Amino acid sequence: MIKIASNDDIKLFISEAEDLIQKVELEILNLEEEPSNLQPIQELYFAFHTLKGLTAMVGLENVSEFCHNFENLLDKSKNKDLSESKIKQIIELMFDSLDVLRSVLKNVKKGDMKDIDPNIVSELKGGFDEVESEYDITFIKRITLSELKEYFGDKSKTFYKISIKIQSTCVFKKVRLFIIFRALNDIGKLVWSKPKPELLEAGEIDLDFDIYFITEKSTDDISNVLDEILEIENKVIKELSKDEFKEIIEDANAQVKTKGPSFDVKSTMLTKSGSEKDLDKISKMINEFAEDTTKITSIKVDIQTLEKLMDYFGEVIILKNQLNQMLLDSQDRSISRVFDNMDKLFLEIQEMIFNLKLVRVETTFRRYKRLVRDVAKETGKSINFSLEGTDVEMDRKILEQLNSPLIHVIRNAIYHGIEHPEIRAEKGKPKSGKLKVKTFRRSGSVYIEVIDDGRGIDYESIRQKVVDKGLYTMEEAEDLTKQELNKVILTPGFSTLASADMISGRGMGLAIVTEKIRELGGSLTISSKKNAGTKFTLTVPFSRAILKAQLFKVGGELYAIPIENITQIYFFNRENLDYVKGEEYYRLNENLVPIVRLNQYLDVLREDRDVLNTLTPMVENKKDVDMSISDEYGNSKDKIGILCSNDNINSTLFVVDEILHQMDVVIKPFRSKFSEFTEIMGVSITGDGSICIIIDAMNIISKMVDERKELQAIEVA
Amino acid sequence: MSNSKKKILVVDDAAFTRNMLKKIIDKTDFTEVVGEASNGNEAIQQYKKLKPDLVTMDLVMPEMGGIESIEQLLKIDRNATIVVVSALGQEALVLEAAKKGAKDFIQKPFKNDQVLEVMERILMK
Repeated sequence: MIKIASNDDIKLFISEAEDLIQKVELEILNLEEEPSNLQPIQELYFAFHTLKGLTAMVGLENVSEFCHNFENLLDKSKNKDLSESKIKQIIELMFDSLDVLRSVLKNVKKGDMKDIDPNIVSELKGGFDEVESEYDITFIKRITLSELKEYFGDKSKTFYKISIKIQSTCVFKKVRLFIIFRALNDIGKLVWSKPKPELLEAGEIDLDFDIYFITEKSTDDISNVLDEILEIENKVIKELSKDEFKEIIEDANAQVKTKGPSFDVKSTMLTKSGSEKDLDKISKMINEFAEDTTKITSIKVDIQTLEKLMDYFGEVIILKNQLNQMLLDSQDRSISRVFDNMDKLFLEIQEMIFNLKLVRVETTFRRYKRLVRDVAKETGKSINFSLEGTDVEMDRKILEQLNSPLIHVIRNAIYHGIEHPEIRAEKGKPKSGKLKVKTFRRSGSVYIEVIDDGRGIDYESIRQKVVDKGLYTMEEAEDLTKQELNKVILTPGFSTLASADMISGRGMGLAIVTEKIRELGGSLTISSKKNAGTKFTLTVPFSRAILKAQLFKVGGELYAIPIENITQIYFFNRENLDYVKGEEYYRLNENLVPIVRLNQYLDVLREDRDVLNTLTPMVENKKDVDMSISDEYGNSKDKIGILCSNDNINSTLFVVDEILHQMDVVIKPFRSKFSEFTEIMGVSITGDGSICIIIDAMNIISKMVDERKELQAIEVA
Repeated sequence: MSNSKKKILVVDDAAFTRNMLKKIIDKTDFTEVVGEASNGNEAIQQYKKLKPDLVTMDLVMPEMGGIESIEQLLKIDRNATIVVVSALGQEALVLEAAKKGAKDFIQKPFKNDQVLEVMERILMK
């Protein structure tokens, strides 16, 4: 290709082409969902039109022609009354086209401007011709066996084989057949023919043919209708038994399966196009393009630029916090006032930057429809897939990184969760399995639940498995709770073992998923019931962004909880303490709220994992000093209670030593080995350069809820 | 007596063809040609006036051709019965006419019997 496009142009091309390809995919899926609505065809037409122009502009001539052909097909189809089988063919072709376009774009991204093989274009044309030729006459609508069953159930229907011989003088056979089929379709339904419909519809017959017909009418009625038509030499109308008719339709369906235009994407050899473009064509294209884009209401910004902006801004916030600290020390009122004004603006800017990076989860999640469709096909399962909460917004980067773990979980649910239709039928479940991806936001986190109604996890066999593999003794295994077993499933050792025989019903790779989610500062939890299904919950931070947090001290160390998690802050009054079954509760307006004494809680963490110390070397010396004061665990009157709630049902009072100011914190997520601590959202640097640990209050609350449930379960048992 | 005969409108730009058709149609005891038109516009005027039982329609005519005429006629009367009388080698056009709603078709050069058969089949119900 010739170099008419600069790097920036190519970037813009990639981003626009990507949007269009996504649009194409979405519209195909819409069409598939509701074939009677032809709006998607119109949208697809526009998308391919634009893609044609775009690809031509960057010199991908064959791709452009490829798109042109699709545009033509869609143009011809958009106002037609298309049969279902036709729409199915179009959908298949469209999906194939997507694969080609994606592979082209993938190469362009790598800087490889390879055009596609012209053979694909001509092959494709063949496919189109086949599709289009049938547009001429499409009166024979194939039916599936299940549709036939419905007809069998309808007592008013009779099934016929009509043998017709056309006069040898008939010249316009195609038109003749059209008129015959039209007349019959007015009084019933043509479902199959011999020779097969494609040949009949193309007018390629000698003189004789048989058609198979379902109607409420009598033989005489059919005969009368045919009598009105010219050039019929003779006709035999014969009623068929259901069995005879079924045999014909079975035969027909077997033939259809091997039919259908398509082109082999895998054979798509990419070749270099050496052709020069003629300048007139380019300038025309540019003009067209310019016309399309004269009104600029939005611009596209490279995501990397946004990331950088975000990072710099994060640094600025840290500096601002330092400045704030210095101002507090200096007590200079006038400078403070300027600073406060600036601070307000900072907040505005921060929110704007923040929103810039937010995208609806829909942008990537809608692709899962295709994924599910493909995997279901591959595995021979029938699945009702639904997406819920696609309008939830989250950080683009996190959303991107969430993609592969989520795909893994979805595939997993289809492969190992949802059973084959026959097995489901035996279990008395609907043949189609349900799979749902539900997304919702709760304070600082986005929850993504992948819920299936499949076979669920067989905990007993996992128990057996851990013993067999020597991970636990029999006695230990007996004592393992569901939660603990869930954790075992997610560990690398177990996953790998399980992959060998799939006894758990959950294949390997979940450990990798867990690892990836943890890297994002999130967590993966499982809940499952045998034969009822499994729910995977992926929890990830809504953003790695800047949060307003309440700083406080526990045991002399600096901590923070995001403001949005905090309901209220109280002076901690011991008189309000209450005990239920040995557990500490706090009385608040007639309600009993569970208590977490962060001092103890974190100490336990520290003892358990001996990591917090390595994390906070800068505050180590302070700790030595303060530890002496806070030795008597949590009985001081001066303590503060921070009430947090993850929704209106589950609240917890976090008891801390000393409440400090609020601050914008730039959360740096934990990586690798620290990421094990789901109780900790991340760390941040305060104005005076100390490290502050941000507590994931939501996570702690969820854990406590889980534990309490488990306790109850044990008591009941 | 003539009141019980079916009314036919003959549309063709060639007077020769119109005459041929008229001769054949008028010979029967159940059909008569009540009007003639040499293009689509005339055909529509005549149709509104005469309300014929059947229209024979040439496809290639000046001013308004057969395809458009069929469309227009069916707009006026969606039960209009139109039989295409076309030249050979116009299969695509005839198919289009059929799709637009023409009831049936015969080809030129036609034989007397063919015309009569159309009349019988369609009008003798």
